[in-house]
Amino acid sequence: MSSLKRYFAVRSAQTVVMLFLVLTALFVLFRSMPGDFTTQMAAAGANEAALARIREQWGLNEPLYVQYFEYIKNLLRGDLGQSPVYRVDVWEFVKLRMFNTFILVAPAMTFTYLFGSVVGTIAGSKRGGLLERIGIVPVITTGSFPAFFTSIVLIVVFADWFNLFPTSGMLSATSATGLEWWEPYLSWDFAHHYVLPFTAVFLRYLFIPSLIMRTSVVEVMGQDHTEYHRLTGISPTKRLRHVAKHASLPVITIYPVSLARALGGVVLIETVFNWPGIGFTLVEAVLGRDYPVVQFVFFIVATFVILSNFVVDLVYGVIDPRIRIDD
Amino acid sequence: MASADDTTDSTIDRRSVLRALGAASAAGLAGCSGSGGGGGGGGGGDLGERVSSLQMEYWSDYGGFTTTQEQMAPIIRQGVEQHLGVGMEVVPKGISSQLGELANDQNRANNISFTWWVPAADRLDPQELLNNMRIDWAGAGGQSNYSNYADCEYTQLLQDQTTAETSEKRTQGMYETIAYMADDCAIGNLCPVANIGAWRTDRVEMGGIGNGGIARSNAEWAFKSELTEGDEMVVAINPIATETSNWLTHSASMPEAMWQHMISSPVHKYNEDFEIVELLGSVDVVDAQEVVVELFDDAQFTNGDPVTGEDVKFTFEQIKRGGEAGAYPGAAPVPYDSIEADGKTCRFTFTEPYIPFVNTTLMRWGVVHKQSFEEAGAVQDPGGAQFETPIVTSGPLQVTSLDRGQRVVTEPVDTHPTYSASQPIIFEAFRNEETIITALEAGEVDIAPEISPPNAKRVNEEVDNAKAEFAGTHTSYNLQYVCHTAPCKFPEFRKAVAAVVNRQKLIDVAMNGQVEPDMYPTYISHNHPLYPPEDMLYKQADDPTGSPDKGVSLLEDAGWGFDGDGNLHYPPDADLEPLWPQGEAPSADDFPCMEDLG
Amino acid sequence: MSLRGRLTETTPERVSGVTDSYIVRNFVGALGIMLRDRTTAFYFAILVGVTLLGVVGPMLAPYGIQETQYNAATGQVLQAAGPSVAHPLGTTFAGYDVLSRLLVGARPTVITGLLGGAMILSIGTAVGVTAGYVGGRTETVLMRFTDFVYGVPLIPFGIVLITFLGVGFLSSIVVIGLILWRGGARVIRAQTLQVKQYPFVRVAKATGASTPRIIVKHILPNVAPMAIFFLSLGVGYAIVLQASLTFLGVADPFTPSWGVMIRNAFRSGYMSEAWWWSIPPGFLIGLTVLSTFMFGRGYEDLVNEDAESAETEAVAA
Repeated sequence: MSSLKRYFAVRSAQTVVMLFLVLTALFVLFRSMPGDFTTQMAAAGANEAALARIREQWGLNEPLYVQYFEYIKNLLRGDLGQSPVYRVDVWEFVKLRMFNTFILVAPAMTFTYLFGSVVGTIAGSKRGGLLERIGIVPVITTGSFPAFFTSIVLIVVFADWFNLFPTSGMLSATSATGLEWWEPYLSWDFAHHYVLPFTAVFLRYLFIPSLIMRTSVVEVMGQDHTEYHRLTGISPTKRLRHVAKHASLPVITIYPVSLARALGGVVLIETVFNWPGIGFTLVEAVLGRDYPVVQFVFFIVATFVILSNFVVDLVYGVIDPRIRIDD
Repeated sequence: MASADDTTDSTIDRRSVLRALGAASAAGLAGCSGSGGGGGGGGGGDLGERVSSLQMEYWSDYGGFTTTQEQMAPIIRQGVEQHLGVGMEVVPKGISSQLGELANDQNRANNISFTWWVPAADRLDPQELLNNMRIDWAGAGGQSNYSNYADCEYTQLLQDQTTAETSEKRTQGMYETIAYMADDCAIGNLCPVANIGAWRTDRVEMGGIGNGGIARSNAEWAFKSELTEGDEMVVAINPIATETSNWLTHSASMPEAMWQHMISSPVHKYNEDFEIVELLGSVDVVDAQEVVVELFDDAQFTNGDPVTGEDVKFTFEQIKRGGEAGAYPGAAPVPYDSIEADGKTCRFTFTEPYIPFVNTTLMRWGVVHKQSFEEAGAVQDPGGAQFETPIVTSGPLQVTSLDRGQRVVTEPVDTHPTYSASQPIIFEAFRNEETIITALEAGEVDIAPEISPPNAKRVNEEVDNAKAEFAGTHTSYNLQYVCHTAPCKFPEFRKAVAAVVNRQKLIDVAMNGQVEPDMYPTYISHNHPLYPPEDMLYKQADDPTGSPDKGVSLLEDAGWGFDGDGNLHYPPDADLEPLWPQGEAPSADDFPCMEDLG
Repeated sequence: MSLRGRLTETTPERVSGVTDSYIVRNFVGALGIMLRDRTTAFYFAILVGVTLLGVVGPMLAPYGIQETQYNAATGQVLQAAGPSVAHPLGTTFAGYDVLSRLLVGARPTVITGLLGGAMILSIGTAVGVTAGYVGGRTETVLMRFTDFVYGVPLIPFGIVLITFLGVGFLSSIVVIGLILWRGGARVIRAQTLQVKQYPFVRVAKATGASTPRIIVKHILPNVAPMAIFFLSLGVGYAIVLQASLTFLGVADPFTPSWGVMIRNAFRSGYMSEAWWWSIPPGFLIGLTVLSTFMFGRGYEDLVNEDAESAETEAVAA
């Protein structure tokens, strides 16, 4: 097992260095964007003299490396800083939004991946059949429209014409307030608002697990042991379950990554549905040059993706010794 | 150079003889040198260098305003290209990028910034906008003279009116400052910015619209409207105002106005018809260096505490502190000598005459509750303080709940001496306008302030039981010429551009024909309470549809000309050098007043 | 060994011909095989149709795209007017003819797809082949960099890049290429690792051929079939993503691609009321992207042994 340990050590070291480099790269990238957060304040009617003091206070006049060391120093102390635009601590500012996005994306993506796996398995098991050739088309079709377009169509049809759901938002404006922070998420009102955005995420991303699963199933069915099962004459349903189990590895592999990326990726759906999540906030923060917020959210997402890949690599390393590093 | 190829003349028919001559020499020039440039040293009637294609930038990330600008921009471009023979490229630009480059004089490719200014309540005094044209803010150096307009005389006039001895003198000085700038056509005006809002006619009895319109900068409608159905009035806003309970840190005008003028209350302010109303007390301008505020006896905070002179004193000291700590972006420096409180009065004295105080600083900021500010630690850390709900404020609405990024819930209180709200108001955050209107249509929203013209049309024509109303405001859509580089450094060129734009078409297409055009280059709009008498002003065009002939003759009189293809050329002797090198400020050699200012 | 068996028996003697012709031949050959499938041929025909529209569309447009249309009787601007004989698809809020904009808009949309797809393909191939063939430290650096690009949220990062390049039509395409190559790089690397083991590559290496020569003569022709797959997927992704960036306001609104049309309809609040303005461009985008995906899948039917890795990475891009 020493080669596995070695592999683990090397990949761990790489990951840590990688995370640090990502942090640095993001810092340099964001600070190099033209303008800073005071420019938008200026247009909005802020006083020039006050802005000059704000720039000074936030150290924007310092050389970049000084700002960088300051940032790292604060980070090591666990201080993420404040949003200079809203004067709120970054964690305080983003935590509920990240949760709002998570509560939308995690169940929707999980359901999408489960459903997509079933679709893929069915489609892949009858290779060349009508179901396989035509059945996958609607799935790809819904994925071919830009997410915002699908979302708008959903609103127009189901909220506007049929009046079945609220047009937007996560909770009614007039819903009860002053409860514990988690209570609204258990309310009927929330569920009512949840349906359409959930559907939008589902329609947009369904083709990914479906296609992957279908391909994977086709591959597994062509393998010897499946053929063996067929010859031994176990029931088709049982055989399919067996195939699905073996074929689900690629889907499971990309599931955590899609989840993390969707944090920033459902911005279109959030915008159209007025969902108070992190995606829209992130875009606004980029446009408004709210560095601490942008940096933190990008870093969180990047970390999640990199760590997911790391874990996946490790798992593969255990399963398949050939891909261990050999230098 | 005069050895023109005569065959080119056959293409010239509608242009004047003078232009034909110019064309001939231009063609000859192109034929022998191929550069198309130079042009100096020729004989009489020559053309200078061809005016290269203009670049006009606008803000690409500002919601409904961006949509309106995108509808106007092609019309401006068509006017300039058709009538002045200069190409124009319309360039979308993020607001942070554009202003960042401008502050450091980094972008010399741009010739015109197509801008608009939020009709913020405190812009009812033009001081802040006119400051954007000061010479000491021009060039690089962090502060933004949005036009890079460098003129010592203008800056002197501007400073003189700030320190005028009486209100009458100050007003007169303001008129002269604006008239001077208009004469120079330093900035072009197109039409007023419209405050447009919509409401459910079946649920709301709307009042208080006036000239201020349904926007949060005009707080009046929040108190003068009444629900006819339902218990809570839902008002759709963008999320900014919901992000922090420390409202003095807001920099965007509309969220700031909502907190300062609806939830808090200033001592006095303009109402929807731009008349001054006293809210918490009376204001006495003793002289140019002394102002006394006398609070009403029944002026109370939302918790029932009386509003005292001490609170007023604390408010303006706190704003000064917050400004100096880099926490309150809206805090303008005021030359305070002292602020003294005594019972229900508060006396401000200044080290120099400062008439603008009464209509700017005093109107902008709502009075704050000293005790809760001290308890929240706002004195030590103005930027970091947060306030617990219910928040104690001086306005007729009390914030009972604040969900970041989602909503601000307010209840009416009867502690305000002048205004009261008839029902709870929920300010609900929305991320785009389309969603707001859809929600309005579905009855999820009662009032939608600050929407754009297309959505107003949609409300009026497609949505039952809802109505949208326009109010031309005190600010404008402007063409901010970049005044330190050619061609816009030449006043005649600026005037020509201002003359050829078809304002009426622009209003018909982008503003539903609902506002009157601005015919004078005043920066502020013709609805502004401090708009100078028109006979003091240079007129941009004789007709709202534009005056192409005026534009062309302005240029030709100054020695500009057109070639055979109708392209505009500079006068032969034109000095096309920028007024100062890139990345620098105007030099004291060229602009003597920089000695004192810079 | 289906497609590869048929197309990539590239022996050293055959390679001595003109390299490019092998790449081209593999492309054309694969295309020929794919088009025997009727479904694939159908989607291919749609793609050809859209491309043709991109070429001739602007010539067919009855009006200028920024020409304000007036009601002949009243002289008023035709704002968001419904379909009529003069304007079969109605007008926009600014009074522009929708059909004209749709026809003219085909070109920027096609350009977006082709340019975006080409960038994804070329960067992805360059990184993937280099990493796969050169190996060692180069591979580690390149693949960790790919990981980094994988780790950024797509749309917000696109907006960050646009602040550097400036808001505009081309820059909105370039940023797509600068991010979405990540899926291609991984797949092409995996392919390269396989091709590297083929006997003829080993022979070439043993006979002392230089690295660039081996890459150009042996590796590229053999990963070329994968290129069709990637190009077609990349085209689809580029169109959708550019529409999304446009929707968020970071693309040039004066280049009327179909994405810009939807955005303008949305911004004006006329998505549902003026369906003639919003539905046609949305439908055309969906159809085009669907066709690229389905066409790309045509390839997958031929080489299912590699398709698992390819599709896993590609659709998740």
